[in-house]
Amino acid sequence: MVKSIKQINFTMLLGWVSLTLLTVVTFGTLVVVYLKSHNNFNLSATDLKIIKFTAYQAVISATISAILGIFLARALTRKSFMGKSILITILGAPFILPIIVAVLGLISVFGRNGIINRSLELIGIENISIYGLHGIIIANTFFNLPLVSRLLLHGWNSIPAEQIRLAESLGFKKRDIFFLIELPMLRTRLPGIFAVVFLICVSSFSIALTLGGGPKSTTIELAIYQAFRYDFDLSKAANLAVIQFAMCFIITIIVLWTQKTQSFQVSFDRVNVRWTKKNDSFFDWIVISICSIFLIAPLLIIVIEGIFSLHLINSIIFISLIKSILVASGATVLCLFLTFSLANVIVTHNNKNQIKWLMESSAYFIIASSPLVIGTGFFIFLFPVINPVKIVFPITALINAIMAVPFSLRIILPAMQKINQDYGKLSESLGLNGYEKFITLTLPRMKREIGFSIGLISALSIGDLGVITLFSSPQSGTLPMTIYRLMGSYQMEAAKAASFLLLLSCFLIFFLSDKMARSNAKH
Amino acid sequence: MNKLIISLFMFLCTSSFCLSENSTLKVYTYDSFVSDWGPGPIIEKAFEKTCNCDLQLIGAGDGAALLAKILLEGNLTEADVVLGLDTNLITRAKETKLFAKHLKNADLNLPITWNDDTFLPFDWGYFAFVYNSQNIKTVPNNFNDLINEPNLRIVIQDPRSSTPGLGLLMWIKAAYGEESEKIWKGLAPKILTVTKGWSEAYGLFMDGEADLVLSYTTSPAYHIIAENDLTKKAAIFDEGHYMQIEVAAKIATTDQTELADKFLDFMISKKFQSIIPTTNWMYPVINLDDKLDKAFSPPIPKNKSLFFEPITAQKIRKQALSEWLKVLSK
Repeated sequence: MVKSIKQINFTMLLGWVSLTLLTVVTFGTLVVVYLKSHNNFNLSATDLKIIKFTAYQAVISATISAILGIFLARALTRKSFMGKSILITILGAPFILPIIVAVLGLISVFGRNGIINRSLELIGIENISIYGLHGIIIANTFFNLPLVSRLLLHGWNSIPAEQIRLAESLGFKKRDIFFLIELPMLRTRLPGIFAVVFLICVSSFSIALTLGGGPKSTTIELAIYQAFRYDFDLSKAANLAVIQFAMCFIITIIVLWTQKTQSFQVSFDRVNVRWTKKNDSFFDWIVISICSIFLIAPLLIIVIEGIFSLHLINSIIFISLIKSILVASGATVLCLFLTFSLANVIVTHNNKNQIKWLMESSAYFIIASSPLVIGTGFFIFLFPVINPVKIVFPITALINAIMAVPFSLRIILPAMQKINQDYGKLSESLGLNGYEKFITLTLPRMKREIGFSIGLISALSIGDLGVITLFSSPQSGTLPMTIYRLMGSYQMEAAKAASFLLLLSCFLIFFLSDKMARSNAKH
Repeated sequence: MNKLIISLFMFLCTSSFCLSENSTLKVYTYDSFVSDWGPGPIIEKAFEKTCNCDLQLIGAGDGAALLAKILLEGNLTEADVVLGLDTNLITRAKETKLFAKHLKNADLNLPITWNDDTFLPFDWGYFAFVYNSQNIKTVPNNFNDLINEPNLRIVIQDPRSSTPGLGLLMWIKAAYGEESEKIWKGLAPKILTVTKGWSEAYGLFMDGEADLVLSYTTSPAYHIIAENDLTKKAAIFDEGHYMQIEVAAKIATTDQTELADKFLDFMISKKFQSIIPTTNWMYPVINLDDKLDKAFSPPIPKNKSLFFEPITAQKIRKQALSEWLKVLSK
């Protein structure tokens, strides 16, 4: 008995340690930042414009992604064709796709010498510019359209076949089905999806960094970076960081509130056969073709041009890949530690509900914090003691780990809860508790989820171009940073080769860890 | 006996060589300086021949971001020398007290007399808009032409991160004073994008994304000499052209004082200076007699040369910057 109490305490201790680390990094850095800006917190007219622009581009991007997403998801529900499941898998790719790679691909498609503008020129229409607002919206749509479609596809698939059959037997027309069955589904799901996409667009730093930049197209996060790297104005950076956090915090509350009632897991096991019958809409084909081309072409260009430029991969690119892999490994280990420490406390049923709630919600509130804000806080705090440039990799790994906790918790927690439901009583009666239970009972049953988490965290971390931009010293950096530099010095071919390498590593790590876990998970 | 002396000499040489091999001089500079086609690789080889050391030229963004980088790293910086600021940034840089005095009496050949005790110039030139004469029919002769010509796409650099970007602020202030805001309002719709540094901007221009790029009167010389391409030209404005003098200085906390001094000496030597024109495409700061290629346009006449003293430039900078931000964020 004494032994098991000790073990429970050990679980609790780890939970508290993780919670403290999360809080210090997310809120602690914010306090540091706020104290720094407190003396002269003011907003200039330019700052207000930056805030407006940030919200504006996010609203437009989220709206376009939502509208296109509705059409795409609806078309995919109603049509069945060869390669549909592949297309749906590809729709999941942008989630782990390094932003810098996508941006480079989008520039190749939408740039002045890209396919789109060359064809427009042939027809005699004026060019569209990939830089500034247009580019930011295109890139945001590229990343969020797939997300919206997948979530809505899930929504459509959740409509019971009986409802459709009933509607048909009652002689409903397409219009009636839309208004009476599909619209209510959209009405419950869309607000939450819209809020998530809005939040992603508000904090999409790398997109604004690479495609925005001019005073006309500066987001808050980009302005933090500029205050840091252009003016070295820490109090201005701190001012902006406070605003960014407030904005994201409010949106996060909305997101979590709208999601309370619905699960956010993505699964496509069941395709509703009913939908695919009696459908001759040509419009659906157009939607599917245009969206597929839009999502696949930029990646295809990177892959093809990357392969042809592979000879440009030099030692700098290679070393930065190794650094990226090291950072990603560190982030993965730390993130899993944090996730399991929190999850262990949350699933233990004799723990107080308040504590469980605290652990779970603080993990989910991480999505409100911005890596740039955290980075600024770290810098202000560490600057007098140590050159932050020297510890840029541990800091990056730490921040990447923490930013990935909400995702890995979403994967790990439900599985752990299920194990607890199935085996909880049994293990209790056997006196199996705490650490021992975790090792002998829980872990072996979670290989799939762990593999998926490892793949996800390392893929996210390996392609991240966030906080590293603040500190990285010249000629040292992760692979995304090196690609950004190559683009800056206009070595586009080398940038494409490096992007191909990054793309390859990202998907390889993701699929390998996922696959290995799946093949091991036979029990 | 002779053999003994020679071998002894050789031994001393190698041992001293080994000793100084360990010393590394880190020079932070702007990106285009260290690029493959820039002066960096040649300068590195030339200096390493004379110093028996390892010269590391490290690109840290464009000129103005370079200063912010030094501020960010502060006393803990690894840099020994910073090369690539210009006169518009000198005063701000000196206020940080991160730079050491150079104590040199250089025999310089500049349009102005040089008397700064901290920074030494390494090249100079005039800002200008460069265009492709095959694409542009009517060449703008001044800022008003630039504003009134329809369908022109200009690419400029951010004055907060780039010295040419900052130079354009100064240029317009020097030419138009109080009316600078009006000029910026006119230019704003023509600006395709604002890049972080010169390299990105020039890359966009070369790629055909823009019709004009903010660069230097000496940029066409590159295309003539290196590519035998006579189509790239600098638009000469009747308001005159703002002068840029690029400078370098030693970091006060460096542990390589001697080597840093040696590098600064080398920087204004004939060797370094004769490399500059055909790699960095700027005028040298010493008299090279007639070694300058004919492709280089002669300097702008004195009465058309615009320039603010460092202290004046620093005073103007803040106001000009907020004006620029205000107009361009609309």
